Parts: sequence; structure tokens; C-alpha cells
Amino acid sequence: MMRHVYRCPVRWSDMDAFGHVNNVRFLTFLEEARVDLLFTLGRQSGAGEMAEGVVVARHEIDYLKPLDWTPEGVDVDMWVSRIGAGSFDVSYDIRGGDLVYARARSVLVPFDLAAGRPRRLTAAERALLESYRGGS
Amino acid sequence: MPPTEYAVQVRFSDVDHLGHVNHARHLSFFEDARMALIAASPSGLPGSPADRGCIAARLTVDYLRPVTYQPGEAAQVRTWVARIGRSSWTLTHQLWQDDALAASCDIVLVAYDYAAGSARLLDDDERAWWERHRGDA
Repeated sequence: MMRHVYRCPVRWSDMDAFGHVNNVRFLTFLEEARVDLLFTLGRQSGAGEMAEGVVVARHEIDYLKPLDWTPEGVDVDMWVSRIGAGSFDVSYDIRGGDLVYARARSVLVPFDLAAGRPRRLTAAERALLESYRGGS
Repeated sequence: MPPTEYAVQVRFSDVDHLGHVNHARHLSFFEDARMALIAASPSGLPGSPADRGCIAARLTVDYLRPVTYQPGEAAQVRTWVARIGRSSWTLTHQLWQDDALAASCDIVLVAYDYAAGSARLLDDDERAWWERHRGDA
């Protein structure tokens, strides 16, 4: 199974008064990993439509370990765990080395922002997603 | 010494409704470059066991060009010391994108005793370290 690994820097301001990275910021790390795979790699592989509109329908996240600011940042492992006609799921591990700080899953919907409604996956998008297909 | 270079990640969520990076986010870019420098200095990373205490007293920012979001691309912060006093010093940060200067920032840092709640004098080794990072625009 192919995973996409995104090295995500952690900002000093991601930490809160408890001295660790605030739980909300983890969703921003996931977003950066998603953008890297769906937009950057999407354009490179001829599936550039994704950058024109894809919306989040659901997030699930389990926080396993507290994360402190580190100049090394974190790795976000990402793979595609479900592909439907008009939506798909991506799963993630946020980790540093072997230590997993959080596991998450998002339901994503390709979206026509101009028309204001969901659209179906294109063949190129489906091919990109299939190449990162893994278990839940 | 040439300015210290630090690569910052511009995030998707840094962009505001006007389609460019919101001006307030620049302060976080400058902060990350500064924290990397402070962590390497005898002043010590704030909150770490090595921390001798410092605090921001004033900052000014000039915005010259909009910063845009480019997936996979970083922006650069260049930092140097503009002034050193007895208990405070001033850093200059510049934010660069696509080889153009986008913003510059001066920030006054004060050596600070958090337990006493008052400024402290810079130690000799701190002063010497920051002195080596002096520069000029």
C-alpha cells in the first residue's frame, strides 16, 4: 500500500497555554498534507480539478500523545481508505519517527464551487486516489 | 555575519478572503525564524530548561508586497541583530518570496526575569552571541 508522507513544520504559535500543540491545529496539519497530495500531486498527474474545489464533509481524530513544538516538525502519513462515486475518505497518521501523535480520517467531497453543488470524481482523480488506496 | 535564513511554510489556511496571506500571519513567520535563532543562542528557547527569559516589547511591520499561497513552496525569513543594549536588543526580520522583499519587521526583545516580573541585564555570553549576528539593511 502506497502512503503519501508529508513533512509538516510546526509553528511556535501552534502551541497553547498548556505548552503543547493545540488540538485544533492538528486539523491544519492534515489540511497541509491533503493539499500536498490532492492539489500539488493532482496537478502533476492530470487531476487538477481537485484544486478547483473539494470540501470536507466529516473529520474524525483520535489524539494519542501530546505534541510539543519541535524544529523538525511532524510527518503526516496519508492514504485513501474509501472511494465512492461522489466522495472519498482519506486516513492519516501524524507521527514523529515511530511515535504516533494522532490518527484521523476525513470524508471529502469534490465540489463545484460556482454551481454550489457536489460533483462526481473524474477518471483522472479516481486514478490518482486508487494509487494511494489502503485500508481504513 | 550574513543574515540567518529560515524557510517558513505558508499554509492553505493563511490565505484570507482577499486571496493573499493575511497580514497577521506574517508575525508568525517572523516568530518561527526568531524562535529558531533564540533556541540556538545562550538566551535559550522560551519554556525550555535553558530559558533565561526574554519577552517582546515592541514590533513594527512594513508590508511591501502581498504574499501568495503556492502549494509546496516556502517563503524565506532573513534575520539579523540591528541593536544591542544593556537589557534589550532589536532584531530585523525580512520576509522574501520569489526573490522579492514582501515585508520587513523590527522587534525589540527584552531580557526578562519572569519570576521577578522585571527586566534583567543581558549576560556577557548572550551579548557576545547576539553581537555576532549583527547586520545592516
